[in-house]
Amino acid sequence: MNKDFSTLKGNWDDLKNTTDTSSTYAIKAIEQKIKSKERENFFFYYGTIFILSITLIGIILFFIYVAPVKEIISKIGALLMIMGLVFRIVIETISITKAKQIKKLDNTLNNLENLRKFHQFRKVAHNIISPIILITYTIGFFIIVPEFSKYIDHLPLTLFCIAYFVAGIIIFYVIRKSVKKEMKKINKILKLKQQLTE
Amino acid sequence: MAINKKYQFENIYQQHHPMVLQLCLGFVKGDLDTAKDLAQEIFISVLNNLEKFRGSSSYKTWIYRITVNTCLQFVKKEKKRNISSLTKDHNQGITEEIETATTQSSPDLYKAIGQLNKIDRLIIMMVLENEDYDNISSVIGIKPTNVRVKIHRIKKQLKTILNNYENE
Repeated sequence: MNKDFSTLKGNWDDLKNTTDTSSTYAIKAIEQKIKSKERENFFFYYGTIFILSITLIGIILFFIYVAPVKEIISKIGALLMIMGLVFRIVIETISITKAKQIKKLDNTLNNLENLRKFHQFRKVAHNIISPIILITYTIGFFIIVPEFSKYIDHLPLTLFCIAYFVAGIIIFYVIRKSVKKEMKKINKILKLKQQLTE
Repeated sequence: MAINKKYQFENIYQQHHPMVLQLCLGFVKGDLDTAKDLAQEIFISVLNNLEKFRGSSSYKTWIYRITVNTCLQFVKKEKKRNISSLTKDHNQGITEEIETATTQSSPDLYKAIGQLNKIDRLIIMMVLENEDYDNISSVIGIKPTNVRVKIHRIKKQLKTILNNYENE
């Protein structure tokens, strides 16, 4: 087998010499790609947090200046909605921390383990935490509705509630899809780990 | 980019690009375009991590770590691309087993390596690059004795695959 392998090694070296490795502009292209990647990464890491924070500020300002609810129960509802968003931002921040722990300088086994931990966390976030946040937010929303009904006409309020349900169904499907995606990634990583250690 | 860093990177690039590109070619079964993309990803990581190089290993071993981890993560994106083309080409009978694009012109050796599982592909290519067991072990994170056993098995498997090519 060793003789066979030296032939193979010879073929391998020959192939290296015939491969086009022209590197004109290659280094410049890498520098340019790094810049665009930095932008992409920034949006990947902080895009969701930014959108959630804007929504949070919007809701807080809404309850302070546009529709300051008066009843205690409605105030609890508003608080639940706000807490739901704050919790979502915390989860997103933890997710970023875990993503940053995946280092390409680690050995393969550690790298795969960190990848698995990250996707496992994402799975739990989508599968358990997101529905809890959504339910908390929805409870908060419907606690406020009775007080809103005193100031808003029946028809627009009904339409608003229907729209909320439609959005809820869409979010449910998005969450389900995300869970499946994370599951698929976890399975692939586990398969790689098995290949590595078997 | 600081001049020193740029100079250091240019040196690493010139010295190791052929090796990295060939590893990528073996990993993606000889598809040159995908291999070039992959090699570029690897050198982006090399440049981004250059300050973290402590000199405890050679540049080559250090680059292997980045190469192996990038290859294993890159395939996920590549697979996505193929799955979308799979949907388009469904009527033409392309099956889900196809993981990466292979070109008709790619040499048998790359195709043969491509038939091994992803981890084995990377290990055998490090062997073909004359890396010793201890270095391979430090790159992939398993014991040198296990590496030795693994390599023996991979060599046997590769031999069978190549024999099948010859008999075809």
